[in-house]
Amino acid sequence: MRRRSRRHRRHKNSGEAVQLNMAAMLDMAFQLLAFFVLTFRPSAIEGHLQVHMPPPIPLTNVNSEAPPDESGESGETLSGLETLDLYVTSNQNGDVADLKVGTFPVVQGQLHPAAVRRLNEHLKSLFEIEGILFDRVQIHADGRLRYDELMKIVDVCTQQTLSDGKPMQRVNFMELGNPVGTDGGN
Amino acid sequence: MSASSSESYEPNLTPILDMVFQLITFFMLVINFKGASMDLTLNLPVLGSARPLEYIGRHEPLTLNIDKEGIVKSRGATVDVDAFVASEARLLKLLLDAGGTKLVDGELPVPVVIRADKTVNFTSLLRIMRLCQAEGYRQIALSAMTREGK
Repeated sequence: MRRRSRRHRRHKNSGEAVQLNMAAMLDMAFQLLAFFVLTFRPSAIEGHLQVHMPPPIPLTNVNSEAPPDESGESGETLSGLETLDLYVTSNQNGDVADLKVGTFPVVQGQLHPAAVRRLNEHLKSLFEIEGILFDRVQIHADGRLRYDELMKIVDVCTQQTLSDGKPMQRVNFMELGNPVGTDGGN
Repeated sequence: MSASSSESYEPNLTPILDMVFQLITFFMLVINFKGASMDLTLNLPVLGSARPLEYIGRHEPLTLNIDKEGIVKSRGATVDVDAFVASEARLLKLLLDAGGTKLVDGELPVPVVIRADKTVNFTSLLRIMRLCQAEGYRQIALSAMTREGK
């Protein structure tokens, strides 16, 4: 009994509340917190349109007809056999003024949502034609065209599906009025 | 009485420490290290169909920020785009070579992220894209906001 009570007493003594010094830990935690608060940048709600710019193919295009004279290009473009050509002219502000697929005018005036839908339907119908296997789109654009207007066109192009079921990602760009040899010649 | 008033009273710091650790955990989880390569002052175009970059690779994509004057910045610093893209491509080729990766048709398997202000004209943009293409970068990711506002 005595032994037990001694043990119990000893245990009781050693079991006294040990108080940790929290101040140092709190200091460190606040330092970490300050670092994270100061370096915090909310991630932007940002996305991408991924395009694949294929290497140059020096072949004469047989599917797309020569662009109209007012586009500023000669009829002798160098394109791949399976290239669909889009010709985009813009006004002074950089908005789309006119968009042709080959020689066919699809958009006249600004690229409003209705015009975007019309372009999408037109491209869809072209990509669905059997026997013509477009595998890339080449956008010939006016140098003044703004990036946001260009993105709308690229977006429509990348929404198309190829004959093998894969999404259309091969997009190339050229500037209207620039000789082919100076800007890459795709 | 004087003995009892001289006793030290320590506040219970446990709840505040709990809260601070919760906050630290939150900030650690949401920290965005990639933000350093982005110029958040740019006014990107808005495109609802823009998707996150689909790229899984060991090497970081090359990010180029183009402001409305056509000045190119990368990792917060203005760069001479011709020299910068060429040096990045050369470095990447060396790294790939060291890792035993063979290039197919000279194509670098790393995308270039182009973050351009929505008012940038096509001529400026095309020049940079052609430059990247010439150096072997064929995968181009054009950035846009998925909705209005930042």
